[in-house]
Amino acid sequence: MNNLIKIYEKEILVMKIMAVKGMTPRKFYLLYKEFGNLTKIWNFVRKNNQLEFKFKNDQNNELNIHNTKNSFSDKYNIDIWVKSQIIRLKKMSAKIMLFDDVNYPTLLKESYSPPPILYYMGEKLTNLSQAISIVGSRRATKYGKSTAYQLANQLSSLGITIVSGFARGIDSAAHIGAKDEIGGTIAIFGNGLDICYPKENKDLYKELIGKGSIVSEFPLGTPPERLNFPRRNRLISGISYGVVIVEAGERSGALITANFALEQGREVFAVPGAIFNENSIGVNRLIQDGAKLVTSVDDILEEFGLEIKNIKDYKERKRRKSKEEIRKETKKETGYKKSLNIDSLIKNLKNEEKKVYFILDDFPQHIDEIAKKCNLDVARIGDILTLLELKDIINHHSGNRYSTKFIKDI
Amino acid sequence: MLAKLDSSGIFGLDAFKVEVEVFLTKSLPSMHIVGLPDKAVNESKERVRAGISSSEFHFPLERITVNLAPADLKKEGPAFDLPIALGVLLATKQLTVDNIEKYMFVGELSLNGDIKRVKGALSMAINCKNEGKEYLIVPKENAIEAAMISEIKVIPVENLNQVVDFLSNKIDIKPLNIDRKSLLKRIPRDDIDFRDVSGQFQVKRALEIAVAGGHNVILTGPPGAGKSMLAKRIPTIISEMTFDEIMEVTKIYSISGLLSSNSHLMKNRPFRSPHHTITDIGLIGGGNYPKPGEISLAHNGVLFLDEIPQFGRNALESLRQPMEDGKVIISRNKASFKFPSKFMLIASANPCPCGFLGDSFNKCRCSHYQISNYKKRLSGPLLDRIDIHVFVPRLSKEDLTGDSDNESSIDIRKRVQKARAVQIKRFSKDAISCNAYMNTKHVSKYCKLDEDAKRLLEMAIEKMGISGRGYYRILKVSRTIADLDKSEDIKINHISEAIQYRVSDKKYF
Repeated sequence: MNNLIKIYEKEILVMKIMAVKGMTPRKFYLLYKEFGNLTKIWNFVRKNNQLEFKFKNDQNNELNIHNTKNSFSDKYNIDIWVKSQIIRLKKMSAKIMLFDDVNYPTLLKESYSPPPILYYMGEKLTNLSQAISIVGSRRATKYGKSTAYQLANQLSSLGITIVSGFARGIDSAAHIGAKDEIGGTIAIFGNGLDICYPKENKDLYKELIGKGSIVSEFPLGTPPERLNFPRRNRLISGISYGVVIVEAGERSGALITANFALEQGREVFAVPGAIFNENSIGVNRLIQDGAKLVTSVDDILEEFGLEIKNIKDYKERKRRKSKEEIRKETKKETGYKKSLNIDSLIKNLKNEEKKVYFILDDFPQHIDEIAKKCNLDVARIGDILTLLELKDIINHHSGNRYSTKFIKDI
Repeated sequence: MLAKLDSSGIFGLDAFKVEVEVFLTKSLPSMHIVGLPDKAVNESKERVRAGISSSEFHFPLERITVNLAPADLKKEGPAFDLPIALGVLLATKQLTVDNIEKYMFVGELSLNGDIKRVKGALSMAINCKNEGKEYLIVPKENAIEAAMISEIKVIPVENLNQVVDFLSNKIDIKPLNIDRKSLLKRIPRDDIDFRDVSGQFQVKRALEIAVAGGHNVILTGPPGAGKSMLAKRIPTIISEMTFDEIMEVTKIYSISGLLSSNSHLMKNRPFRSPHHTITDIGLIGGGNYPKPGEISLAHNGVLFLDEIPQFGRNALESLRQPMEDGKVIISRNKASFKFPSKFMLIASANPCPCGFLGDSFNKCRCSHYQISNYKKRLSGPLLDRIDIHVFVPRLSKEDLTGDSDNESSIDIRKRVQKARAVQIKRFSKDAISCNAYMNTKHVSKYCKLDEDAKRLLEMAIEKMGISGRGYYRILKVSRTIADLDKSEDIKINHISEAIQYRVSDKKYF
């Protein structure tokens, strides 16, 4: 234990200082400028009589140091708290990165008062070169999710790391799209690293620890509280070259991220949506206000002089990949030839199927409506729609509504 | 000083013979009823005293002991008023009858000597027949119900004087003879018909399949979409009840006292829609003197649970076993009772607490957490017993006002009946009657897929993440679709249509 404390001396000091109530990154840097030495800062802060610490709702604390009191306020308790944090970090093999670490993300370091301490798991954070964040609504539509997935996937395959907030909807889609490509992905949490929030992302959580990184400026055990998320959003925009907003309602948190991005001088991109869709109000307004409209990866790439080493053979690789995929697909072929090329799929449709397919459009329609337009009875329509759905060229929406699939070669 | 005559009491769904003994002794005037009477039976002394006096007979000023045998079974209800009154008259020699053992008496007395209707007259008539009695004296209002049993002579009576006159041969009352065939003829219901529902073609098709195969259905959709309206019309497309079915249902309704004075028989299939505050006892049946619950009242008909997530968890979970067995056994400390409960479950639910998830006109405002909590209210095992899940969308203005040619219930019923006939033939050697009741053995025996269909199903399982449960549900439903299509084998279009009605676990329930 004592060994550990010696090894983590610096980290422990920063943890302690940041745990003081009312301490912000800005104050920390001011004090750092004043004293130039962490021990001196701590001593200064400690001399202050009304010392009080934050992070009181730490439920996972094994040592239970404050089961009677809600907050702890003396030196003895803060030491125990730090010790327990260190032990737990060790156990989870989570790591700490301080503001003066060489690997501290460059862009973040240059931004206005970045977090002095970052907790992280997974190696992606330490070798981060370029990052772009993709964020958006938690209650995303299929269109939004598939856009986020494809943008993330293609950017990542160009070696760009995708940063997002691990939330439901767009964020998760972006992580999933990027995780298996070379760029990888980083999830930034608004809570302690030991908490998987939202819970249904449990598998993704494990995967990101292995393949990407999960990062938080909050110590272990911090619950996902409302106020943490704007701070988290600031980190998301700070770490990346630009922010892509895919779907945001009128008062979405993604818009906060966009605001931070502007403050920090980052580029803001927005994927347009249907004007009828409430989920698009925010993004469409961003575009009105001057955000760059994104229709493909190129729109994002052309804004940066990004060093994309393999951009030239990007198209070549892509062609190769799709061929490989086709080969793979045909191997486990189950009767219907799967192909990435939607046109050829449509060509191969039977007459009735074709008729139904062309009745559909981007806007989901209920099956009765489709039946009426095609002049076929519902039993037959149901049968055809299932076949089309299995062929992966139409989307099934909640409430037995169908639309064409958003397949676009971005 | 002792008079003996027979009456009938209700035990569960059946009646049993009750011997009413009246004994007079010289002592202080009083009246005692023994033989586990309930409150209503015990109060019968006052009605008997008043009834006898109002009918201008003499009520004896002696100690009267009434025994209801067998003494260890509880007796309930006012149906013993008439036999007790007659017993008093016999014991005081104000009335003499030659062959009193040929008769069985039931009826409630009014204070002026009138005889009023009783519950369970049909079961009593059956009991009368089994006991080998010749006459059943019943209140006039129950006569038609009792006369369904043709082996006995049913004498409808209106007041005590009439009974006394009849027994002492002063007047002659003809046994009620009814034309059973004409009574059984169903009066077509013109008040509700599937024609009234405009649009909703997919839902109607799903309901047709459900009725054809006896599948249970859950309808989800925003409020005001017409879920209850559709559900109410389901009985109109089920085939007519057979004579035995009518008797079963009438018996249950008679015992529950739910036959109205102008409908003596339950000729139409019952449709029950209990409110969601119902207790598990109310749903399943039970109580101190066990009474059939809603599931038994829905026997041979439809049980409609509107807003099913609002029902108590206990009540819903207790549905599982009766749904499987088609009957429910209620055990109380004295005895256990068996009530039939072969019903078709139609459940309706909103897709989320606010009701607008998946609606094209309104935006859902529920949080993810709220929605997943709402969905959790229905347990997996219960959903397991519901084969068809279908979404009922809200109609647009055009659909509501436009006059599209809607099919009438009769047309749908014809197709349903044909499909049912196929199933009855198929399952003639098995103990089941329709596709919904197939177990895994039956499924592998009767649900043969052709090559294309097999391939499609495999693909669907892989792509749509269909579970083992879901797999069997799809097979059962596709069997019914094939039956409606008069097809021996299950073809590819049957499977693909059945997939439409699967549980999309991620979306709703």
